[in-house]
Amino acid sequence: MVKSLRWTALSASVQGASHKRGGQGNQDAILLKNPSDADDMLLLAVADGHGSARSFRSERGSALAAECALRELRRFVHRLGPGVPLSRVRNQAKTRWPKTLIAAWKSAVRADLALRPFTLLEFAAFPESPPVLQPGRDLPITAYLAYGATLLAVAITPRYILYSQLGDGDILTVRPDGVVSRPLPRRHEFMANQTVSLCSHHAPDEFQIRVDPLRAIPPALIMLSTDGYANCFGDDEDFFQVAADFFSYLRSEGPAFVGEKLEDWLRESSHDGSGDDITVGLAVRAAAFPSSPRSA
Amino acid sequence: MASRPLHFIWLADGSGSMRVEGKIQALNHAIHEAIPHMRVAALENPHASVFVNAIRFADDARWMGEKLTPVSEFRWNDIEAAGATALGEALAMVGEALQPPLMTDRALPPVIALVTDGLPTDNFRAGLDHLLSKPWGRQALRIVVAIGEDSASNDAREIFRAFMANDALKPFHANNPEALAEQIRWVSTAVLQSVSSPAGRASDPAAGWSASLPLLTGMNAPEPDEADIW
Repeated sequence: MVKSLRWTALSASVQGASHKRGGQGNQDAILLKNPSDADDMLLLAVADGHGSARSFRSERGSALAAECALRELRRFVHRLGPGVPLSRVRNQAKTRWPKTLIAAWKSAVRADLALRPFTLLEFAAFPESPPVLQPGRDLPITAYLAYGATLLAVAITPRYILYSQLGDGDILTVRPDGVVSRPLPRRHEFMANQTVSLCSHHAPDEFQIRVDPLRAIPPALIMLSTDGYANCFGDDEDFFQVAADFFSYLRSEGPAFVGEKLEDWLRESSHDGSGDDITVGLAVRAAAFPSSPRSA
Repeated sequence: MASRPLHFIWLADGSGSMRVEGKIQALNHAIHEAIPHMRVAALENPHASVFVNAIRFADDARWMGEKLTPVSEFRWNDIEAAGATALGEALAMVGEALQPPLMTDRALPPVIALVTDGLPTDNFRAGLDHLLSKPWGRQALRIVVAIGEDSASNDAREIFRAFMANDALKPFHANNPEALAEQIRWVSTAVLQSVSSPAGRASDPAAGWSASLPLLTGMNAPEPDEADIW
């Protein structure tokens, strides 16, 4: 098979500086699949567990979200096939994908709950008793809220890029000329730590989806990040500069250098900024960057 | 790098009834005493930049200082008690203030702490509606420190319930100066720390602040004590 894509994914995830002090684990999760000869697509999924008192299993919930997103997104792209019209991809991405993903995540939560039922201690601070699995009945929202997480996902195929977002977090793209933009508009109602997520009542309706053809000049870089990163910066202008800086480093130092440094940079940002967990996934179009310019 | 702004607003009752049995002196003392604790709590979380301000409400409502006062520079100027209880006007003023450019997307939820001994004398409902019509007004953590027996009446409870708009939250009651100082200190520190934590995320309005601040839920008015004078 001819490799039509030359994309590489880099990622890092760090525990929030304040979470570290408070004894909380990293509630973020990230999974990626790089293109291969057998399967020429890049997939990236970033999930952010709520981490609140009510979402006491959100570390697990975000891990399940990233797993489900990667698996279901791959199936979604394969089912559509390589020659499908983009109008159909858009239509299916907006109608079928959100429902498929939510169903998969809820199923994964129920399976996890079957292995590890809620304990009385976990619900000690709340008025209701712990929800239990019952045949033929869905769980109450409090059960899903315990695992609550937001999700960002991107699929890059030889013909199109699919962007998917549920809840807060950020997806930025950088053009080959260095211009940074958002493929999906920022939802300003996500303020004061409020967000929709996989456990929300109308979650399938809350997805933001965009499908772009790859026939024009594709982005040089796509960055997915949990909200802990943007919250390190005073405004969007400063935050966009981070993506521009990654782009500059990729150009001057190459992807290997950025991959090596990414975790340290995120740790420093959490320490000096929001204090929250920070997770970043970078989809790098190799043709736009040298592989190791310093050694050249 | 930037820490996230957190606005903490005191709504201090300066009405005539606060003159009775030293309530206004106790309020002044309690907030004076709480400020150093508030600064320590703010310092303990370098990821939040805490700004404090206050509105005194009596015949009318007035800001006591500049809207953006870092907690390190905040000074409490003693207030006097005289006049009516224009709480509705105070709420409307907060609603006006909690908007861009003061509030950015990355701000932490503001805290509005109402300290009062009784019932409003103006159009409370109009003021509250105005506050809740603003996105940051709705997202704010609204808490009450209720002073004295009058503030435990059914009418007062109804007012506080409407203000807090969260069945899981209950007013902090203080029936003597020591209790008032303790409640004010608690509000200034524990509440501040909870709100400034990046972990306090709610995915569903039904979960709300009770999801993030379990320490604030289920608190009931203390039993009468020999030390109670209000």
